[in-house]
Amino acid sequence: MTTRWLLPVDGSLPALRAVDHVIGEARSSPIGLDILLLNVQHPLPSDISRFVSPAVVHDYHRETGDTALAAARARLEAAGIGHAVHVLTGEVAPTIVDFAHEHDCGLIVMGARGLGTVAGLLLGSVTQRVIHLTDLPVVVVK
Amino acid sequence: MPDLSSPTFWVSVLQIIAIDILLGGDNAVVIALACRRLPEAQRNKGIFWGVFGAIGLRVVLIYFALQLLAIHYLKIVGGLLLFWIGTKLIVPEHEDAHGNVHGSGTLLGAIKTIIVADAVMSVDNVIAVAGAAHGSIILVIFGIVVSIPIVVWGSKLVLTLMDRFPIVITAGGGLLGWIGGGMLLSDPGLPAQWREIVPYGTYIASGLGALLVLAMGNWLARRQNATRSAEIELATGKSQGPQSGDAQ
Repeated sequence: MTTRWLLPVDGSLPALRAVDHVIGEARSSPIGLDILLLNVQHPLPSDISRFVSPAVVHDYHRETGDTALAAARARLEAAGIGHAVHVLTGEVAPTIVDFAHEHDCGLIVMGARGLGTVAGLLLGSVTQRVIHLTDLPVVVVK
Repeated sequence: MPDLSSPTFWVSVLQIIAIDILLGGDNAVVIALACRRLPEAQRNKGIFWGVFGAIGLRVVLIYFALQLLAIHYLKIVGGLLLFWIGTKLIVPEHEDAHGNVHGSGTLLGAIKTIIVADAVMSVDNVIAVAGAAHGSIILVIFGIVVSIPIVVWGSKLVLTLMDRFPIVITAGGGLLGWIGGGMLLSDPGLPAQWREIVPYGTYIASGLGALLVLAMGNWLARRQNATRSAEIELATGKSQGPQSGDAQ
């Protein structure tokens, strides 16, 4: 029996701490964990994308996603934990929530985001929005 | 000489800086994206001339902008254009919305993209700065001077802003609507009494302009279903380990 966890990361330190937490859990877990690593990027405004071919925009998102995922991936690989990797564009929090739903994830693990205190208070973090939108359990790693 | 103690002056300064960051930054991002598939040496050349063109066009255009905005009814056109520019800023990318200008792997393709983008985006930027400057030549020049470092170094800044605080882009669209609304009403063709009939008429027009842009942007985004997420395929299937029927 396996259980599937979604691990949305953006390359920030809190996200990496969430990765470390998952690694720790995976080691002590009696059941197999199926880890989905996800990076979601906000789409470019049409002011930019109307001038550039879709292939170039696609390349840009892929490379940015690769960069954001690199550290998390390296840690999981070093720990020998299998994982699948996805990069999506869209409004970040709803995209994470939809993705978790579509892929039958049982749990979302994410970092309490390092937006900075002032901006975080004013705007609300992605993590807060995910917690608000999803009906899955969410583990927030500080 | 502008009145340095006047709050309106400083509000204009802040508006111009915000406009330059968003519109100048977008210009910088297009230049960087258009050149990213080129070999190193050509890429630097492409970026240099792209930035050079973007700044040169702004300097030339701003001179004409001030002359043009004195002509009757042209501010109305400018104000309406600002509504549209603000809307474009808010609506996210969409597969069908991409232009025909393809930044292929060739220097020529990149140059074509950059010329078109520089021309369109400089016009956008200059109209917005002229609208926010309320006819002050000092502010207009300030607007260009501020846009130069942003076009040169701003692509990273704008991309980070969009990634971390997408609300900034929406706010920027609203700001352009605000400036556009005020610009409509300040057209020299409209009789001056119009501005005095309704108290705070300029602010009301500005507010309505901002609301209009936000509403149009959201409506268009929803209509083209652009808020829907899209999967980016990774270069190699780097997934490893057990995969229990991960249906894509």
